[in-house]
This record gives sequence, structure tokens and C-alpha cells, in this order.
Amino acid sequence: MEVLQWFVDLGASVMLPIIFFIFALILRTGVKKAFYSGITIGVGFVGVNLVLDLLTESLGPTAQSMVRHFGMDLQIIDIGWPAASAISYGTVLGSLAIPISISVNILLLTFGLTKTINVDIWNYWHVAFTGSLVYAITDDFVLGIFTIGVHAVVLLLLGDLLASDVESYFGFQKMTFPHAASAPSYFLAKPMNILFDRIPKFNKIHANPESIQQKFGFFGDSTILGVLLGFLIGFLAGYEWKDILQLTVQTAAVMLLMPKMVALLMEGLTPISEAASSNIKKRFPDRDLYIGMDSALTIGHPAVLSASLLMVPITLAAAVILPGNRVLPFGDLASLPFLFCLMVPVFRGNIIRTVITATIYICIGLYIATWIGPLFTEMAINADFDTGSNTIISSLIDGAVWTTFIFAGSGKWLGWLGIGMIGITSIGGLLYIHRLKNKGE
Amino acid sequence: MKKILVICGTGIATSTIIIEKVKAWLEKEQLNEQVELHQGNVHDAINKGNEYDFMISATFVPGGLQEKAIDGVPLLAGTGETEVYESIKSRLI
Repeated sequence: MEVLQWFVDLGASVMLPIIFFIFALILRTGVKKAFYSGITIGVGFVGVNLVLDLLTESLGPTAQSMVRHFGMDLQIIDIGWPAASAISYGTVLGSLAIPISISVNILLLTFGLTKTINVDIWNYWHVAFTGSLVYAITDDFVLGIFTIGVHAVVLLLLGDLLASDVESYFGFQKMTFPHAASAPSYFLAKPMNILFDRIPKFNKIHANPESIQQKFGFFGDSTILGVLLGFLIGFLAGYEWKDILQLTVQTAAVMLLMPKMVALLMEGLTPISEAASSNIKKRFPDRDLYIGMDSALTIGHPAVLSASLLMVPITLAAAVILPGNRVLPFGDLASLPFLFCLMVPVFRGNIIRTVITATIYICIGLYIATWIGPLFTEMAINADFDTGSNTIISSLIDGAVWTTFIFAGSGKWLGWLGIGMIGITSIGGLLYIHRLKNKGE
Repeated sequence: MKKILVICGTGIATSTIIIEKVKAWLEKEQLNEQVELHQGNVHDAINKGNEYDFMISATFVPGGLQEKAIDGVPLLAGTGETEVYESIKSRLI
């Protein structure tokens, strides 16, 4: 126990390189590759921490000043998914998400309970996220591990459900997106689509994605978005010109630098991810399976891109208007496509339907992100990230995803029973799809 | 020297994986001296696509740029990688 504590006390930037070095050795990448892999991950961590520091130190006080000056209580800063992923992987619990998810996938494939083979190892950070969140709430390490396992099952169920819509609309053959930030929106999109079909006249309206893409394209450029937001927020905070302009460049810097730091994490993880995915695939060679990939593949689609660009100003307006919302949308504004991309195949590319549904989705999401703010901050501190003095942080990905609320809420109010029930329900869903339904055919 | 732009939805995640794979392949083929790899998102492709010789894409390529792009998805899926490398090679020589 003492050895373990000593190890944890080394801090994330030392502990994680060691953990991932061991993962890489287990997957037989060779010592040299394993060493590079571990060190690159450590460097990425240090980088994310630096940029996060810049963000909380520049935007934190501004958000507080905005409350005093303008009465807008948006003090919880959306740090964006790149930082959220680093925080999620930044603990022993979080890093265990990788072996746990792989084991769950292999187990379910072996029993024929899923057709999804999730090779998108990087995005296991989402299950590390819910696991760490439940751990921050309950202080129960084993329950955190259990949550990771259950969330991995939920993702495979989502992957199986999505596959047919993904193939028929996007045209990706034998592929699916068991992506924890994107897939849950499918459950809102399905019933909404049935509703939209029943509204006379409305069911005939379409919009042209190309023109939106040209007019709103600047919302997709994160650096420009950083400039606009810094300027606007500084102005609302009642800053002097000099301070407004300084904030503007700082927020632009955060928007540009944060992804670069996370790209280092990804680079370090790539040899591990490659070895792991080829390892899983080798075990199940000739079966008729869907390959689980990052939903980023769909983001270039004109309908996805246009709908998400429109959602940038809508999300900002919602954050200001909604009473009780305290999240200041920032880091994830340029990544909104991840939240909405899998609604698009359900609506067959209809942008109006996507935007209406996405608006409902983000309004609920902002409240969830507000609610998890303090827990998110505790999670970041657990992973050795410095969030500055009394700044509360959160993120829209996955803070605004309803499954995050289901996991955190179940963990908080029902503990083991709650998470267990989610597990049983999703196993039930998989049994239904692969045993009962197929028998009928 | 050829300039290649590797794009994905965000220019962060999947494009990193593709770049790492292409880099390793270029080194193996001893072509790495002839190539400059850049990373970006869909908006970079729209705004600066013409500055590059060709693109490798992990997502849908905007209209008008299809001819310039090689579909990089097989590199992520792990099936049909050889064909992708072949078409990169044919554009390099």
C-alpha cells in the first residue's frame, strides 16, 4: 500500500509515463517505442497543465468580474474536451480505463453480445471521465472501476444501435461510432424525428448547408473564436482597453495551444492504441463486425458542419439566457460538432431539424455541465491539475452529455445499485438485439 | 518537396494517428526527405487547400477539393491500408 501511495504521490506527469510505458511493454511494442510513448505522454501532460493555467488565470478573474459588472453569473469555465481528456486519463483510475474497456469489448465479442469492435482507444477517455466523476462523488475506487466497465458496455450497445444509420446515411461500410460524446444524442434525435414528421408543412422544409458553411465558417476556426470570445467577455467584464486586448490574445492562445498539447498525448498513445487494436482484431478475424471509430470522421460532412456552426451563437445565447446556468461556454465551442454529429443521419441531413433538436439538447446540457462543475474541479485536482484559486471548471464534452448525468446521478444517489442497474439494462439491450430479435428473423 | 495536408474533423485527434502512420511508412520507404506533412481541420482545407500538393483526409472533403484528397479512413480502420499507401506513392512520384 505504501509503495502504491509513493507512486501516486509522484504526480500525474511522472506516474502516467510509467503506467503507459508498462502498457506498451505488455502490448509488445518494444522498449524504445514504449519509452518514447511514455515520455511523450508525460510531456503532453505538462503542456496541458501550462495552458490550463493560462486559461484559468486569464478567464477566471474575468468571469468573476463579469458577475460584478454585468450581473451575469457565468463563473464555471468550459475548459474544452482536450483538457477534459487529459484530466480523465490523469489518475491511476483513469488510465485503467484502457485495459478495462478492451477486456469488456473482448468479453462481449466472445459471447456474441456485441458486433462492435471498438478500436478507437484514444476515446476511452470518456469512460475514464465518468469513472473519475463517480469516484470524485463516492470516494469508492472500486465503484469507479465498475463505472468504467459499465460505461464501456453502454458504448458497445450504442455502437450496435447506430451502425445501420451510419452506413445508410454517411456511407461508411461496416463502421460505427461508439463515441461517448456523440452517440447519446441519437436517443433524442430518434423520437424528435418521428415528431417532426407529423408536423404538417414543417416536414417539407430544408436548408442548404453550403451557404451556411461559407457565411459562418469563422465560427469553425478556433483561434478566431478565441479572439471573438476574449474580446466580448473582456468587454462585458468592464475591462480597460489594454486589458481587453490582452485577454483577447490570451484566449486565442489557449484555443490554439490546448489542442497542440493534447496532440502530444495522442501521439504518445498511438503506438499503444495501434498495438491494442490490432491485437483485438487478430482475435476476431473473419467475423461480420462493425469497426468502432472516432465520430470525428463525420465532422467534415456539410450538414454536420453547418448545423454545428449555427449552434455556436445559439449555445452562447442559451448560456446567457437560461436562468441557473453558470457555465461560460468556451473551450468546446469549436468542438460542438461532436455533440450533434450523430443526430444528422437520423434527420437525413435536415439542418433545421438538427438545429432545433440540438438547441434542446444543449439547453439541458448546460444545466448538467453546471451541476458537475464542482465535481469536475475536484477531479482535476485529483489529477494534479492546477485550476487556480477558486475557479470552478467544467466542459461541454462530456459535461453536457445526458449519459454523464445518468452515471454521476446514479452514483451519487444510488451508489452501486444505480450503476449496477445501468449495467443490467444495457446488457439486457444487447441480449435483446443479438439473441431475441435475431431469432425472430 | 511535396506538401501534404492531413485533415480530420478537428485537426487534433484522428489526423495525429494518420500522421504517425504515414510518417512511419515514409521512413520505411525512404521517402521522408521528399515530404512535408501538415495537420489541419476541414476549415483549413477550405481556406488553405490550394497551398498543398494533396491531402489525406479522415473525413468528408468539401466540394471542389475531392480530386486533391486521398481517403485516409482505411489507415484508421486497419483494412485496405496498402491501397492508401499506393495512392500516396503514386502522387509523390
